[in-house]
Amino acid sequence: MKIDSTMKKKKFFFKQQLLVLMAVLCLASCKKDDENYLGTLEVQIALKEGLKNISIADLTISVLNTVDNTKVEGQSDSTGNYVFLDLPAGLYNITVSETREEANYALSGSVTGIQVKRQEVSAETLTLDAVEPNAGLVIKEVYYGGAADGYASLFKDQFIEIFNNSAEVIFADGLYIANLYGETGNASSKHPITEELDISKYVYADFIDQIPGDGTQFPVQPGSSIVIALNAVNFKEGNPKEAFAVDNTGADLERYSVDWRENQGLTGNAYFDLENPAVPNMINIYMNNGLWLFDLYGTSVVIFRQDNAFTENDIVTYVKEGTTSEVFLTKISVDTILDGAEFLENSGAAAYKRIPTTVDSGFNFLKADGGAFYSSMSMQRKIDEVRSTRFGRLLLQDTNDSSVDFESIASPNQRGYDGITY
Amino acid sequence: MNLNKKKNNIKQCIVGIVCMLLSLFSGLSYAQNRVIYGKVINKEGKGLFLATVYTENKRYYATTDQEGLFTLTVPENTKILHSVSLGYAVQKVSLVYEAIFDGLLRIQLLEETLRLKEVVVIARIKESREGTSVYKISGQAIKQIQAISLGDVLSLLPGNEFKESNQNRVQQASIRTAAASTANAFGTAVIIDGVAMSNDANMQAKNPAASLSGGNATVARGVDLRSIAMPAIESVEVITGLASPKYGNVSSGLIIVKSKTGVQPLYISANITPTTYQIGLSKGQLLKPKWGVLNSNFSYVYSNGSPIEKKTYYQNINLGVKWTNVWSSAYQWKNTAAFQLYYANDGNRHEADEIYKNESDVKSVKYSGSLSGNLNVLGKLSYNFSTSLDQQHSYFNSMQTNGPLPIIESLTSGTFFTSYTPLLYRQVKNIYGAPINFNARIEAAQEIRRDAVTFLFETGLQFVYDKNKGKGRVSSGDISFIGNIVGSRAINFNKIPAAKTFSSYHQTQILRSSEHTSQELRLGLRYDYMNSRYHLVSPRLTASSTFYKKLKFTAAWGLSYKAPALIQIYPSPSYFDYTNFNYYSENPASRLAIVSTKVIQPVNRGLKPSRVALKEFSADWNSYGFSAHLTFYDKKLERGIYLSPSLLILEKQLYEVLETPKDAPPVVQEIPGEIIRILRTVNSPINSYTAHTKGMELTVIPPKIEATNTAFNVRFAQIITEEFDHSYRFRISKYVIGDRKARYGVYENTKTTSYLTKGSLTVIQHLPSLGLVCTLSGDLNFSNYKENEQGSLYPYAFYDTSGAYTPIPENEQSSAAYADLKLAETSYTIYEKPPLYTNFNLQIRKETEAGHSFSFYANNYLWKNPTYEIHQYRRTLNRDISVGFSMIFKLK
Repeated sequence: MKIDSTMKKKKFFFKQQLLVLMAVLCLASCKKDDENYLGTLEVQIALKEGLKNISIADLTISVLNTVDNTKVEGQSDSTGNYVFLDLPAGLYNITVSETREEANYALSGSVTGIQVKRQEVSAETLTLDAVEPNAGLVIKEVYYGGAADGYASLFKDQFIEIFNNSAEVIFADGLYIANLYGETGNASSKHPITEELDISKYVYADFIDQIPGDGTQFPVQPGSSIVIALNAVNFKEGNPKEAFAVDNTGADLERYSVDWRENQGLTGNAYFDLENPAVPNMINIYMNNGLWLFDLYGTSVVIFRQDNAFTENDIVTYVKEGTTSEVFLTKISVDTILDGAEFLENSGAAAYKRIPTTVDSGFNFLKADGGAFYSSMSMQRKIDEVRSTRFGRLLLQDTNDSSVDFESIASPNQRGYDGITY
Repeated sequence: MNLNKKKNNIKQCIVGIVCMLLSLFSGLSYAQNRVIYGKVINKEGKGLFLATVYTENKRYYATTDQEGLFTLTVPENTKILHSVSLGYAVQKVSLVYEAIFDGLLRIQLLEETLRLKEVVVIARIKESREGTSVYKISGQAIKQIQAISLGDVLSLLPGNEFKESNQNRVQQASIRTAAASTANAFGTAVIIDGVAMSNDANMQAKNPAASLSGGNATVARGVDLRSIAMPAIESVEVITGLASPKYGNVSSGLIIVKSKTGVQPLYISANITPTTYQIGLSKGQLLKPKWGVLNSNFSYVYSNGSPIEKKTYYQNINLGVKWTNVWSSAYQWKNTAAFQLYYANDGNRHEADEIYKNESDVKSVKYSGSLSGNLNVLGKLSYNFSTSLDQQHSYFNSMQTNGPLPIIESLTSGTFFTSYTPLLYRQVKNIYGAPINFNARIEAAQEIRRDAVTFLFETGLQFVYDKNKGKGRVSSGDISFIGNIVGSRAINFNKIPAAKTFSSYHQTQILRSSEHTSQELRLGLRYDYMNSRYHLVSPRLTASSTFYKKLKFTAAWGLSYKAPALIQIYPSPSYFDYTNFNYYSENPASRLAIVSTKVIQPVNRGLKPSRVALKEFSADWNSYGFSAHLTFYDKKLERGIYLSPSLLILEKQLYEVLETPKDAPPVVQEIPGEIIRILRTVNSPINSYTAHTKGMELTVIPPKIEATNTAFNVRFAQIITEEFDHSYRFRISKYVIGDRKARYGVYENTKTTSYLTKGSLTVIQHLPSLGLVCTLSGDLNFSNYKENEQGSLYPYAFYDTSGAYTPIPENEQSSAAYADLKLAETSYTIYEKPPLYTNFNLQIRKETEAGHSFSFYANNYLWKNPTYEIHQYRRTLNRDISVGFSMIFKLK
């Protein structure tokens, strides 16, 4: 049967119309789909119990999407309330940090892992604390991720730098430094340490060491630092990628534990322990696994002072859910902590905090989406420009919230603040 | 005195055997025999050379000459003869009905193709004088599963499963054990055309002081089954039960490989899987008249670690020639001379995106030659002489990124002043090995018949020699302190004495038959004089009874021994290094490391061979096309060789600096009285391992569905293995804090029990008219897990840092004083027990009329990667789907 041209045209026209109709319907449904994935977050600011006469108006509230790491900010109204509209569904971290110069305190608080659901209103209360900036020793920098020098240094070049944030000389003799144990929130993490251990009163360390001295040997000047390196070695020597390597020979102290371990009847690890005779050694207090090692994926560090020596009564046995191996940690009272810094693997790792919020209400990371080990990146505390200018001396920001107090930098900046004046 | 006594023992044995031979020879009886003259021909009527003609019980056989003619003397009442030749199916002829023309019994053989009515693509139980529980895997079955190397063939045995051939990992046999162990694999013998392959003199371990394993090393382990390529193989028999006393130095079964012998056209084969490629050639060429047949074979295998990367690779070349001829028809003297070249290479390439070049190349070139044959002298005399030389070279070139470390190169104990390596430095290690093996065996078999009772006697002598003539381990580049891992350094293998074993054996087989029943009794005895030290006697007894030729019961019991590997008897020295003084100054000229080395030379001359006692009972049913085989066995391995720890106390002298001259190392002196005692553990091989295996094997072959020519095969195995290390273990204190010092707790080992239950149902669809066979099998994995016996979490003694040993009274072991030595609560947790899961495998093979063959397989194709959760972790049960393709071209 022949089909004449008229019929063909009609058929073609009909097909066209049908296609257009389908396209319109698709677009309409897409738009609807986009809208379907948005939600609303209402944040209400509250003050910690006991605080009075503190305004919660006009505070900048930051909301970080932990999936795509985008940040949105808003200003609280007179009642301390702000509503974030049209947020993509997901998990968010909420932070407030604001310095009230006139009263010499900072308002600080954060909550993490808040779920925003599509087409719903999520409400969250954020409790702020008024924090006096630390006028003593603070952690200025922790370089833990390893160098981007093609594994020549591995992580043997780690160091921690401690800064004197006060106006007087402080002697670092006897100060303890501890690395806290626990998963970092990386891709293989499943079990935060808080599943098994309560961190409200104690934190749990897998290594602790102590600055030696009788109280007069390691002075730290105001606005200066003391550097403790794993190895006080120049890792640029003989390194094909020396531009990325670190020279730790300028460290004030280094760690050396081979003789100590062997004296205990254990085995020292000569892979990572070198003795620079020109640099004094830290006192070894406790090592769980034979390595003094900040976790490459994310480390939580505390500095503290206490009078009592550690004994077997301080040992806590930790068995992670789903495993059979025991890890032996030493517990440290939260009351003894002078400063803590919490660094996890990525922005969505809030559940893996190892330091209680009373010491550090937030956490930070080298890269928001993780994978920063062997990148030469480091975590450095920011300069508090406002207070430094006000007081005419270098002061570092300290709101007890690593998420705002620290920033990741592309390469370590050992003693990088030395000589900065205001 | 002892030496003289041993020499006398040997002389007495030899005299006894000679006397037995002479007496038997004089007592032979051939009464009531019949001589059959015949000719074996193919379809075209052409005579077939080297075809075998034999009676149903295989006790009488003859080989055809180049015209296909044979002469066979059989008992008068023989009714059936069988005949087979390379590439041809077994043919059965009746002496009652077959006509004999021109005084010749003509037997026509048909080529073995898929167009025959019957084809066997599974492992079948067969009766054999080589042992009990013998599974035969024919050439058709080998082609059906596209086996690339010998390890793939073992997938057809009960308890095993079919999986993609992995040529990038060492293949080891695992026969009748639920716990794959090096002791079990080491005890499995591989025999190729009567020649036993030996791995006893292999010493290519990178750091034997710490471990004999690592990478693809097979030191003190079984023969690497990748080395036997399948294109040249005609059939494989696996003896899982009690072996004939002919076989010694074996404790876990035998794999007997028969290579192609006879005239055959040129076959070109290719095997392809996602990671492996194999090409093979084989041909049997008839030489000039009276000069026999020359069989030649070639095979090349190349394999990558995975389909998407080429970093690790393996390749091997097999090249062999074999000359077989019948030199005397009168004496039925068949002789074979063979030469085989085998080249293997496990490599590790440097990839472009890797920062530093790290390479390894493990090569071996093995030359082996053999002379074997049999003739009708002293009854039936057979002989086998073989020798092999393996030139091994393992090369490791790696960039060490753990510097700077103290440089240590000493081969003697002492304290040395040295310096440091750079941050990065290259280390090259070479290991040159040259194991040599010589094996000679001669055996005579006779028969005596008295009415309904037949006596068969087999008597033999054997000598085996193993030595390693290699240069040994050589290293270059900075040899640095390797921390707390005990190390191995340069050593010359050639200085290690050879291992020698003299053996004699005898087996008497008594057969009795009546109208409805028959009985058989095998009384075997083997004597080995091993390494000039051990006198080992292995009795091997088998009794069976058959009713109405349908039902058979068999019981067997025997002992066998496996000698330790050379490296276990003569381990190389162990090096312990520690740093006395560490002075890593900023100025390179001022650096100084003081290092001590302690060299320990273990002495293991008292190491004994491991021993296996096997008890087995089986029942066979064969009737109306239905056959079933059920076996229960109990296998006990004792005196297995495991590493046992002992403590070594080292004294570390501390130093102090006296002066620090400019641009020079410091001047130091020992600090008087400042010595730290360091404890290290030394592992030595001892005979402390036992494994007790109980198992059951079932094979059922129901009758075929004739209408569709569909056959079935069911195989099932349940194995329970209990392992125990009778020595002890150490654990250092879990933590040390304050002024406490670590202690080494001493704990009893506990028993580990492994459970393995597997079944397989195979459906075989054969279409002879199309030359097509398709097999679909479902492997049922019922259980495969281990559990530890609940042992004590507390030590029964401890060592302190001074090396003092202190026993702990039982009532005090759990007190708080020893909390640091308490084992983890989860030390004896039951291992995960996965749920039942099934693997489905499909194999299809098509043969053209010209004889070319094409096959395809898909493994795990219906249900891949099923997962389950345990302890909140997701685990997979089997592997991803894998496919393979094979072609065989027959060129006439």
